[in-house]
Formats: sequence, structure tokens, C-alpha cells
Amino acid sequence: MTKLTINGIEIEAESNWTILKAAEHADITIPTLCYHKDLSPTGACRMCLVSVKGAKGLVTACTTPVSEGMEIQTENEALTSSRQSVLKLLLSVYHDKGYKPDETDNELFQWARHYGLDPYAFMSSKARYEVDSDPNPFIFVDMNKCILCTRCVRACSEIQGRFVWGVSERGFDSRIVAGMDEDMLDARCESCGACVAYCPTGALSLKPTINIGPAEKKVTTTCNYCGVGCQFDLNVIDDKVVRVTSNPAAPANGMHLCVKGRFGFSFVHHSDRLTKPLVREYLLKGEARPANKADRGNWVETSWDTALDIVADKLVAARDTFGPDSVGVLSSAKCTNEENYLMNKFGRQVIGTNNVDHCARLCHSSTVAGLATALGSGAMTNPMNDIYENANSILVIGSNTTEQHPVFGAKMRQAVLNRNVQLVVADPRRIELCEFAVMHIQQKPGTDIALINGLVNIILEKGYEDKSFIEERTENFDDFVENIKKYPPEKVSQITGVPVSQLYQAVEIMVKNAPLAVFWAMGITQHTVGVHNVFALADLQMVLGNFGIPGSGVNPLRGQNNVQGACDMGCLVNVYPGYQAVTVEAAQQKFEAAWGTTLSNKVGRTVTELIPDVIEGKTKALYILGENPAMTDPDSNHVRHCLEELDFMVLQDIFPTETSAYADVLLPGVTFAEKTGTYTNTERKVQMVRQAISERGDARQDWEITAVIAKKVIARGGREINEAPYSSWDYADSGEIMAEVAALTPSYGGISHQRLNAGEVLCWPCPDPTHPGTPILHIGKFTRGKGNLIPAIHVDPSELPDKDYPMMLTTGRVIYHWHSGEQTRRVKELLEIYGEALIEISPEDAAVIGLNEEINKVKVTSRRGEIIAHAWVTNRVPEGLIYGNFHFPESNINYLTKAALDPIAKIPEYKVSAVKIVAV
Amino acid sequence: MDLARVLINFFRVESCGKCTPCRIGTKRAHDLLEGISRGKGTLEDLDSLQALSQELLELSNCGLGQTAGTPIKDMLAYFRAEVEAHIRLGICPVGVCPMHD
Repeated sequence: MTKLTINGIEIEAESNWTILKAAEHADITIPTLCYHKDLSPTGACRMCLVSVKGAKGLVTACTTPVSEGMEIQTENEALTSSRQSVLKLLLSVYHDKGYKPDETDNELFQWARHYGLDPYAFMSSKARYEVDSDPNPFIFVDMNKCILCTRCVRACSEIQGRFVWGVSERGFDSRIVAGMDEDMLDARCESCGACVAYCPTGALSLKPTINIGPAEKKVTTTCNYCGVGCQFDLNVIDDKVVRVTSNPAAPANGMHLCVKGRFGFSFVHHSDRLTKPLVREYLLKGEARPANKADRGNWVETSWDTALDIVADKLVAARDTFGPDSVGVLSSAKCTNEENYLMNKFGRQVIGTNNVDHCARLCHSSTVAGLATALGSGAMTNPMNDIYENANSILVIGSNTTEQHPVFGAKMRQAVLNRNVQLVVADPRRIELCEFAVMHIQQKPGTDIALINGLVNIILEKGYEDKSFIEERTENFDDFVENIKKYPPEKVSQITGVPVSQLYQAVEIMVKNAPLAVFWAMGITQHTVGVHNVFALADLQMVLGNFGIPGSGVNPLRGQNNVQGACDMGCLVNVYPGYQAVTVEAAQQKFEAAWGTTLSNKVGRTVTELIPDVIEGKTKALYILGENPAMTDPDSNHVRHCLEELDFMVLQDIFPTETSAYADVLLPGVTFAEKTGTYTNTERKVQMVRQAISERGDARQDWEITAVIAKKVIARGGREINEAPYSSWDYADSGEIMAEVAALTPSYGGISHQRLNAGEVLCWPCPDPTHPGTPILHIGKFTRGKGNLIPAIHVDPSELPDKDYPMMLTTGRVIYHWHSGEQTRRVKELLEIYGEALIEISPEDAAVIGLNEEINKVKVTSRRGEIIAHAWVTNRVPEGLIYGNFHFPESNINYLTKAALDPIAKIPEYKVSAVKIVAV
Repeated sequence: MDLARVLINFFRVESCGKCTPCRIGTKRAHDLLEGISRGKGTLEDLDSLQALSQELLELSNCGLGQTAGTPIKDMLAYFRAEVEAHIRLGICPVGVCPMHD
């Protein structure tokens, strides 16, 4: 500790603190402009000059370290005068072109006023630069307001790791430029907007709402795109969301956001929003369904009561005629925990079926199944910030983190840049993270098990395994080793296409830089061997002893904002909330007693079974909340055919989607900006979503809709539901639903809206109201006791290229769009940057099929369908592999994918299909 | 007077542009001296130059900016009459400054 005095007050500071930090600690404010706590200090603006007794001249508080006995003055007449001088100099080159500014966060103006200067009196009357000088659709550039604090430069390099901004020229001609003085997007800007968030003067601002003025209110909420769980402030004017601004207190992301989080909100006010319940004409007239199954007839606007009565009648009819298992309930990973809990309760209590599933089936069901079997808990083990601070190496396998979890992708870049963490990327594509990696392992799609087992084989050969960890904390080692022996490096190299020497190098990197954290996403899970892929990764980490310690673990990055929560809430066919198995009698009895009815102990059918089963007549009615299977499920042509045959579908969503063509009743729900509840992020952090604006039109809270349908179905009788502690569907608000969740779900036992609103950051398991939550899993002991070393066995993908379909297709998303695109395709700026599906193809293959400037479209055909789209010739994909996305209906890659399922998790093999491709 | 103008121009051109006083202050000082040398100076300019030289010395980040104020300070301390002649009489006593645009 270092003792010093500031303004006569004695302060104890850590010896590595700066004067500024010591002052902040003592609640003494020193004016700053170029300083920001998230960025490295630079001492450029000279606002924070303070006088130190005995020092030669004034010193910058932001860069000067404290020393013993320092006597510091932060305010006196001379300092006021010097700060006024700096402010006058800065204002003398500051020009306001007159668009309606949001001055509330203009730090230059704040400090000018603080020191008695009217900024408008001192600012320059002449513009030096063109206003709005960059065509980036999101970021408004006005260098007339730039004070060269370089916060944007540091934000881009230190937070986003992108290095777009820099300073050109020198002296008075210095100015901020993108790249080599080019357009931002050409300088590889990812439009994350970090530069805007850190800009203190409005030189960089949010273009879509540049002229809108200050917000009337700001509501802190959680992003509704990916599983990172960023928090930010929705800015509201006149009951409309006008912009998103960073909230420095956000636990997962701080000030940082990605392009979708910061700019992808305008869908909330899109004119396509469903605002009235819609019912097909035939239902209102009491007629039979039109004979043409592809067209269910006209939509008619109706009252909520009419629509929900029809829904209740139809669901009761299906249940009572064909049995409860003829009804399927598809919940939504986009919706809150509270809404998902009710969907689970609706299916199980009201209908009496375990056919409750959601889109996690299509993304991480293999992770949940694999990790639950191997470790006892199917979730990310370590928080991202812990890995950023403590991991010494990171293996990213089958995750394009930069594009799918951009804020975590940026954290990985930061780990490499700031801590020299050794990053190994294993991916068939040359994804962006490879630029930051020490090694890129480019295995063939569908050979991950061989690759991982090969690495473990080398680890055992070299004696690198953690023997005491294996001895004390795992079981089944002998069987496991027998299997690993079948994967010697040479054979692995043959299967995967990875050179033997690279396998050895990879092992050296991961072993010599312990702890290793492993990340994965869909590249691991979406295979017919998805569960075994997950076993292999869990095995690798157990063999290396990388569990239960900081900076380690197995870290599946969950896709949707609340896919973790939807799984936690029991929207899976085999478990009640909190992964209490429907087949375990004690769990069944517990929920029977809670909900006052008899429950099924038969595992339900998954979304990938429910829809195909329509053809066999096993599925008669579906209640779908916020999902779009016509776009997202594999083999779209077949899915659409099945949905045509379905007797009855009620769809609750915010927009008419590709799936609504097959719906009979369409119920308008609300977006994240209009609801209150919780999302659970990929780190198991439960976070509040807060209502910022009122429901649009007649749209209703999603939980209320489910509750009314439940009450109407119960009122129609046919299923005995008795008075019980949680049998009722009367909830005053979503907080009451969370209280019911906490009562019935041990891992959520201590979670409540009150605690979250009080600012607590809680990761489950959080068993009681005083428990602080569990950021790191498996400390000292695995959830299931001993870790199970399960032999993972390589099997070829279900469809490999052959002479008829010689190319391999793999699929995924791009940074600018989200899944079936219902939200992001309604944000015009996102479409400006990425407006149509592109098929990635290697230059070699492009030459073979004859792509050139004029001929730049391709027709891709698989055994199941064909699509036509523009090609993007790029080295991201190797020869023989093409890549497509499922964001755009007209060229949806899922017309080509195959519904081959993992036998355990029932996840489809999106990641490998055989196709042929021609230029058109 | 002309030497001060030439020297401050040197510092203006050599300024890296990182810190506020040097980046903007050397430019402002040079503009004022240019104005005086072209017969457009005012007595207030001399006050501004005095203040700028002090700010450059006290507030700059490195030796370059801290030194940049010295020629102005010395000019005002030792050659004030010569400088004032540019302003009050509209002449350059040593016949170097153009005294017009």
C-alpha cells in the first residue's frame, strides 16, 4: 500500500494505481476526456493535469503512478485556468453543423460548462471536414466534432480487436481515419459501434437515429439475439425505442455490443408486426378445412376471446380424440424463462404430454445430452471473463465465435492481444478467428471425434495426462483407453486430413499452456455423432484435468438469447424444469403434487420427430411459440409437406413467418422491448428483461396468452386437475411465475426478480435466496460425482460426396443476420450490408464451375432440393466445400440439408450434406 | 519577429499532434504571427501569444511542445518594441516581413 494525500485528504492506494485511480477511489473527480477506464491511458488531452508537490510542472493524473508521500492538488485557480485553456483550444476546432444533437453524453460540453465556458460561444464557426463522411449505414462520422482523444482508436483495437481506426497526418492536420483513409467497411469494420459508445463528443454517433434528440427514458434490459446475454439501455421517446446505448454496468459485456445488439432493434416497430389475432375464415364459419392443403384460406382479424376459444376447442378435440401425445408444444428460446416455464406446464399439466420441445433440439441438444451423461450437467462450465483472465490456451472447435457470439469473439481476441493466450482454432473453414490463432487445424467436416481422440492418443503416448485427476475424479478410464488406442496419429491424419506433425504441435500448445479452455458450438453438435463429439471434448478436458479451476472447462456457446433458459425450464421432451427427468418417479410425483394432476412418464417426441410424424398421423395439433420450423428445420421441402398435412396449428409470434402459411390461428405476441422476465445466458447467468414500451396494437404478453389458453382448456374439462400449490394459472405478473419456478426447480431456488432488480448477478445453480450463485461448475467434484470417460467413436457423416453429388455442403449463419431472419431482415441497415444469401465457394471450385464477373450465381442441388444464390468466392472455404446460410427464404440452405438425426439427441446433421453445384 | 515566426512554424510542422496544447496551440501561435507579419496584428494578439506560450510550456506532453513557447516568450520579453511597430506603425523595422497579403 502507498500512502499519499489528495487535496489534503490522506489516501491509501495500491502501489500500481495511477493518481486518477487513487482519486476515484476517494470519490475525488478529476476532469478527463481522453481517459476511459476500459481503455489504456494515453495522457493526450491534458485535462487531468494536477499539481504534485516537488514535481517539475504539472502531471497527468491518468498516466502518473502514485508514490509514497505524494502531495497532490486536483483543483486550484491555476489548474482551473489551465483546464479552461485546454477546453478553449479544443472548442476552437469544434464545429457543430447543427443537426439535433444528444448533448447528454457530450463530455466536452459537460466539462466546458463545469469550468464556466459556454461551448457554443467558443466553438469554431467553420467546418473543416465533410459531415457524414462515411457510407457505413450505422455510424455517423462528423470529424468536425473530433477532439483527437483517440478513444475510438483504442476502443477498436483494444475492445473489438479490429484496428479500423487510426490517426493520419500529424500536428494540426492530424485526423482520425479508417484503415488507409478509406471507407469504414472497406477497412474491415464490423459495425459493432464500440467507437461510438466511447466517443466523448458526438464525432461518431448512431446514424439511424442521428436527428432524434435525447431519450425521454432509458430502460436497462438484455439483448434478444445470441446467448452472450449482453445488457444495454433501450432509449425511448414517445413510447418508441429510438436507440440502444451501452450500459457500463452490464455484467457480460460492459460497454461492448455487436452490430445486431446495438443496431438491430428497429424490427420492434416494423409495419409487419402482428397486432390483432388472426383466424382462418373456415374456422370462423365452422366449415371444414379447404380441400387444397397448401392453402388454408383467408385470414380474418378477430377478438382475442374468439381466437383463444377456437384454440382451446381444437387442442381439446385433438387431445380427447387422439390422445395427449397427438399434441405437440413447441416453445421458444427467444422467449423468457417465465414464458418457457408456462409452455412446459401447459404441455405437461394441461395437455398431459411430454411432447414439449424447442429449437435447442436443433442446436445444442447433443451438448446437453453429452455433458449430462459425462459430467452430470449440460452447460458452460466457466464464465467468459474468467476464461479471459485465467486461461493460457483456448481451443475453439466448431464455433465461428466472431460472427455468432461477437462479443465473446472480441473477448477471445482481447485474450490473445492482451494476455498472449495461445488460441487454437479447429474448423473446416478459415474463419476470422484464425487471424488471431497460433494454429488453424482444418479438419474435414464430420471428423471431429477422430481429431480429438487423436490428440488424446498423443497426450497418453507422451504421458501428459493428469494422472491424479483421472484417478480421483473420473471413472471408466480402462475402457476409454482401449478406444483411444484405435486412433493413432497416422490413422487420424488419414481420416481428418490434418498432418501428423500438426497434431503433435497442437498437443504441445495445449499441454504447455494449461489451463486450456475449450469452446464449441454448432460445428460440434449438428452431426449424427453430435453427442459423441461432445463426449470426446469432455474426455479431452478430463484427461488434461481442466475442470473446476479458473480459465478451464468445457464451454458450449449457446445460440439463442435464452436457449439455456428454455432448456432449464423443461422445454425438452425428457425433463421437467431443472433437468428433473420425467422417467424418474420422484420427479413425476413432485410435479403431480405441485400441479394437481397425473403426469406422463413417457419421454415425449422431439421437434424433429413431431413434424415428420404428422405424415403417420401421430401428430395432430401443434402449439408453436416464436419458432419458424419451415425455415429452420432440415429438409425444408419435407417439413413444409408435413405441416400442410397437420390438422391444426396455433402459432404465437411477432411477425407472419414462413411457418404462418401452415397455421390456422395466429396470435400476436410481443418483442423483448415490450416484456418483463428473465433470460439465462450461455454462462448460466439469469438476467432481467425489462419492458420499455407498451404492447403494439392488441398484442398481448406471451405468458398471458398461454395462461388464458390454459384456463380455457382446463375449463372445457376432460382432464382432472385438482387444487394444488401450483395448479393455478392466475399470475399477477411474470415475477410470480419466477417464484413458482424457484419453488419447483432446485437450481433456480434462490432466483427472484427482486434479487436481480437489486443488481445481483446470479449464475445457477443458486439453490436458496442467500446463495451467491455458481459461476464455475464442477469445483472439487462433478455434478454426477465422478466424471465419466465415455469412449467416443468416429462414424462417417450420413451423407458423403459421391460422383452424383461431388461437393460437401456445410451451413451456418453470418454476423449481420439472425437465424430465419424474421427480425434482422426487418432492419434495413442490416440488409444494406448483407441483403441476400451468399454461397461461399473456394477460388479453385469457382474456376472449375466457371464463375466470373458476369456469371456469379450458382445453383446448388442436393438429393432433397435446390436453391439459386449469388456466390462469394473466398478462401474461407477449402476446395470441395461450400457454405450457405438459412437467413433468406428464397435461398434457404435448409432446402438442401438432410434430416439425418443423432440417435441420442435427435439433432439433425446440418453440417454435412452432399451437393452438386453449377454456375448459372 | 520573423525568427519567432520561423521557429514556431518549425514546431507546428514537427508537432506529432497527440496532445491538445501542442497540436492546436502551435497552429494558433503561428496564425497570429503570420497575421502580424502581414500587417493584420492587434495588441490583443500579443496577449494571446503570451498566454499561448505559457500554455505550451506548462501543458504540453513532451519537450517539443514545452519548448515551442520559448521563442514567443523571448520575443515578447526582448523585442516587444519591434513587434509592436508591426501593429502600431504598420512597418517591419528590419524590413523582412511582407506587411501585406
